[in-house]
Amino acid sequence: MVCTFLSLVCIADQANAQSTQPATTPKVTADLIPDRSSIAPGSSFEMAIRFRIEKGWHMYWLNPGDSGLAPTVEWELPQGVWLSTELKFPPPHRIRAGEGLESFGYEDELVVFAEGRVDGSVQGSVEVSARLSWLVCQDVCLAEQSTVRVSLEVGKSGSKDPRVDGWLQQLARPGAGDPIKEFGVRLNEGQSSGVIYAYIPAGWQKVDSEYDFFPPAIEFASFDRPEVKTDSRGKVVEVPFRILPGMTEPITGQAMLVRIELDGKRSGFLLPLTFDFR
Amino acid sequence: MKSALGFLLAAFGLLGFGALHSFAEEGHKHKHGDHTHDKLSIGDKAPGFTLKDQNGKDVSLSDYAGKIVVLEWFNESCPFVVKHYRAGHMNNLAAKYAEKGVVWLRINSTHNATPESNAKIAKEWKIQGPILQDSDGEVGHDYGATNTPHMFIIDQEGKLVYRGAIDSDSSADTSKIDGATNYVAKALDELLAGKPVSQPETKAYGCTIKYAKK
Repeated sequence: MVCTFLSLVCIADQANAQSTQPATTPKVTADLIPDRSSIAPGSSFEMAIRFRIEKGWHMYWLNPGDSGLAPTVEWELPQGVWLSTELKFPPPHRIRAGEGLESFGYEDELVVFAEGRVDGSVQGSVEVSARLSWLVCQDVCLAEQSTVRVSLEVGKSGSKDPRVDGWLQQLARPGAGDPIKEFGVRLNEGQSSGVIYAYIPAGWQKVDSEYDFFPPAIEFASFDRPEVKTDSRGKVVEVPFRILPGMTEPITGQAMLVRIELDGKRSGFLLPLTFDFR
Repeated sequence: MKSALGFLLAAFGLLGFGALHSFAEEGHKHKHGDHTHDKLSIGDKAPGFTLKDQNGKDVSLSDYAGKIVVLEWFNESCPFVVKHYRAGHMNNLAAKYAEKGVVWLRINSTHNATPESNAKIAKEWKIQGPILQDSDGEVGHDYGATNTPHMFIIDQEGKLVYRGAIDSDSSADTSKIDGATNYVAKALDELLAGKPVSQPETKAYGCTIKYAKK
């Protein structure tokens, strides 16, 4: 573990971790778990990156909210293996971050996924290495880094890891469709403010559930808390926002609508939005 | 000589950590957020203040009337602040604009920091200018500062002309500084050239300010 000139910020680096061994930094244990025991050459797969977080600490979604930062990955890959650096996340939670402030993130455990592909030419056991960087916070924040490795078996398609299946089902899925009939950005007159909205019609699936709406990470807008309006036509979830001056180009971003069922089950729906104020 | 009263007021920040935040999930309370920074608008007169620097000396905003003043919300234990102090980036930026008459004041609204802890870190990080201690968070709340680093620029007329992020890269990675747009430098260049600030507001990133609990 390397401590910088500032004692509170320690960069833990487990570059010499054994193959398939998890890396442990002061507050987080990270490891890689492929979705099946063996991957057929020429096929796609999903790689889970699991962060086990010390109690009382939290990590962040792509839009961290009022403070924080999402984890990132850089892969070191053998010939013929590809893994995305774009990570897929489960629905975040709202975490209080001081007076009137909220972060969007995860406590206890966060499992994100990267899409992977193995060329037809690959055979046998190959090593995949990931350099992970993340911010973990309680009252203070630590920027941690770690390199984790896993051996990928390439051959006959193997059995699926049931844990990974469970985690995959928790990921937000892209686009509209039941329960969301309509979503978008609505600007107020004067174009300096507006709402992002999602419409869940009556009669569609689980309209009675609770809904939360997490705004995209956009530098030139300031978002408020969601408001839910329910009437005979269903539910409309809106997040009011204010445009910060200086934005000249249209910006796109992904919001996440989260459905919370009575039993606490959370489902995420990723909604691409375009903000065009010109 | 500054007053003895000022000296007595100096050091006693709130000691001891409060109970750890209970990160109870607020879930889906659809309460309308009242973002404190909405209170102060770009173009408003910047709120005045008098705070102790790391040497126990009173520093007032009014001491710098007629000058461009940068306020930088500071907390040495925030990785995003560390990002900008590593390899001297923030010090160099402050020094570059000091040559052009710009005043750079760091404000620490961390409840349990003290002028003494600020003096220690100023020495360690080779910070030249003042680090002002705002233990009760009054100045932070007046400005609606939420993050470290959170940047504010006050023009020669004492008006707020910029607030937000230091730059366009919200990571904690020092190596990303060179590729980012520095909003503060851009705004200062415009101000010094007698132009209006083209991007007066951006979303601040970083850590949350650890204010005293009310």
